[in-house]
Amino acid sequence: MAGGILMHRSNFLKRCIDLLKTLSNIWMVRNTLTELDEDVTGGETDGDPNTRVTTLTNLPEDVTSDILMRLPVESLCRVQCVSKTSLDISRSPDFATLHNLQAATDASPMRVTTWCSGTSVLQAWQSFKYNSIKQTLTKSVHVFQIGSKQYDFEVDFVFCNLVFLKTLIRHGSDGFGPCLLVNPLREEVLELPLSNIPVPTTNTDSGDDTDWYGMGYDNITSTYKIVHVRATNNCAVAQVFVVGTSSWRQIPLAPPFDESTSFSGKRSNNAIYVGGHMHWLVYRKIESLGYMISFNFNREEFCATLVPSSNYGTYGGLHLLEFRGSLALVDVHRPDVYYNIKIWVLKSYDDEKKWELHHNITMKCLLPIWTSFPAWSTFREFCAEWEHGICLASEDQCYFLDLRNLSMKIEQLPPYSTPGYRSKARCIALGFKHSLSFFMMSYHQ
Amino acid sequence: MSTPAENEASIKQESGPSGTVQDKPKKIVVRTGDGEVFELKEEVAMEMETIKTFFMEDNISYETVMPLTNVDSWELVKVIEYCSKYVELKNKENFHKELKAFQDEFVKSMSPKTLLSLSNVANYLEIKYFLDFICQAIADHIKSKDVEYVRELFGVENDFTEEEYEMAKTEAPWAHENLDKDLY
Repeated sequence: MAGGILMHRSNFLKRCIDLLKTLSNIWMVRNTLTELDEDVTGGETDGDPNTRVTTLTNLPEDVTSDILMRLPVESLCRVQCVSKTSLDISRSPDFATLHNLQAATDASPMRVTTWCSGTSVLQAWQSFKYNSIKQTLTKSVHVFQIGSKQYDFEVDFVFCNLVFLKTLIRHGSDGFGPCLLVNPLREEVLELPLSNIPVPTTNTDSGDDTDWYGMGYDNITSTYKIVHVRATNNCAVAQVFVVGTSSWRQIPLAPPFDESTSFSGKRSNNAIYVGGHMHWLVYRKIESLGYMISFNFNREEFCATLVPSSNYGTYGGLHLLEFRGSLALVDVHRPDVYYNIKIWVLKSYDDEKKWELHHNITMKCLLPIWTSFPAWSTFREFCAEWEHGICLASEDQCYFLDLRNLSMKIEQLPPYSTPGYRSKARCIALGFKHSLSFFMMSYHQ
Repeated sequence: MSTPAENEASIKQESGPSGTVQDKPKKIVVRTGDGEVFELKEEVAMEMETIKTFFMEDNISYETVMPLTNVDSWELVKVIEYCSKYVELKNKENFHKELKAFQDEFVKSMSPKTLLSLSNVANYLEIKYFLDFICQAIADHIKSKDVEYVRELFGVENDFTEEEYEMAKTEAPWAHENLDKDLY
């Protein structure tokens, strides 16, 4: 049982749920996202917008949203009750992310979140902000630190500024450790209950990534769920945890996880939540093909889609990300002295999932040469969206690709504030607000 | 063959935004929604993206009076006051301190409804820093107020049914306790 500096747990859990409730209906409001399966419930008026009864005087929604996002959580919960429009606004996913980012832009003293069990801090994540106007990458005030004798933690995904950490089983330790959900922008940590479902042990030497996690919103039951899959060569188990309950629940796994279609193998280092589904990239060694696995939180089902990358050669990297509101795939390939970057966007999300090539860029630039790694190891590299394009990170450098003029700017990441820590070359993106993008970089002793 | 009128027109064109040598500071003229005409210093007017785009995009001469139909004269007075001060302080050393002091004074005399109108104007004129400031001022004002107050302030009708309202409230019951009981 972890000691250390946790927020008052029940209070946090309640506030976490309440805050998360303002994030709901992820596929409701974004204009650029195409139509998805389920219909939306809750909060919106029917019919022609011109017949809407409620308007916040004649303020445009942008301005109202701007005002609301500066409110602390308690008063946001009140303002939600003002009218259906304010409920709509405060529930949109853009709003929630921006609301958290507002906390990031406001803070000036250092804000540190810590979770330690009986030992000193061993890993830390330092936040950085990239200012697209000044083109500077500077340290930001948010830091979170983790310390544990038994477990190493690794970021598995980011969902609406919440960072999910899973434990890496150290050789010789006795199994799973707890998973953590951290909100670095508001200094809150939630420790998830341990799984009570027996899961197959894995051979950790195989180098395959066998534990996958994802988080999303089920708009039918209005709950937030976290899904966990452990897939080994010969079997797979999946379970779901509903935030606010106290235990995991096993779910039957449908294909593509049965024995004959094993999906174990290297996985992209980030899972992406777009359109009500969580998505992961997997490589099937048998077929030498890449797939995107998606989990639907309403039906609690998986499905697989081919990804349009033909380049599993020696150089390159494949990343899933949210780009301009849609799900996108970035394929970085280095056929010879030039780098080729392709950005595919998933346009239709029904049965015929279609990837459209939106950008095809060839440039001679200073991306690190991944000579010593086979393609899918470059999943350790990171890719995210910023205001004017995409950015890639590796080691201690960030590369900002500006899609307006196809230029690349390289920024060096400063070392961690406490000496004795080395960069772990793992980077996570927390989103961006106007011209400020937020990232976190990990360091360890 | 060009007529004197044409010559005059071309000369006027040259003295527009593309800028030939002129000694006196340039002025931009605007007309507000309620018919008043204001002369703005160029450097202040250019803080407003809407005005800047209007003149710069099509190289329109400063002789043109730009109509600002969505802005009332009293609002423009306030905007000019803020932007002029901002431009004045911009390059100074104690910029943040002095701006903060000015901001506090600026907000003191204003009612919340005034702030709301100004936020609309700031958005229309596209003055980012002014919009930031006004939105923050409004947020600071409403953060401790209850639901009724916010409704009245924004002039919003309650379109929830009894049940819907109770449901929305129960999502965070602790948020509705211990509030300012200010009258609007």
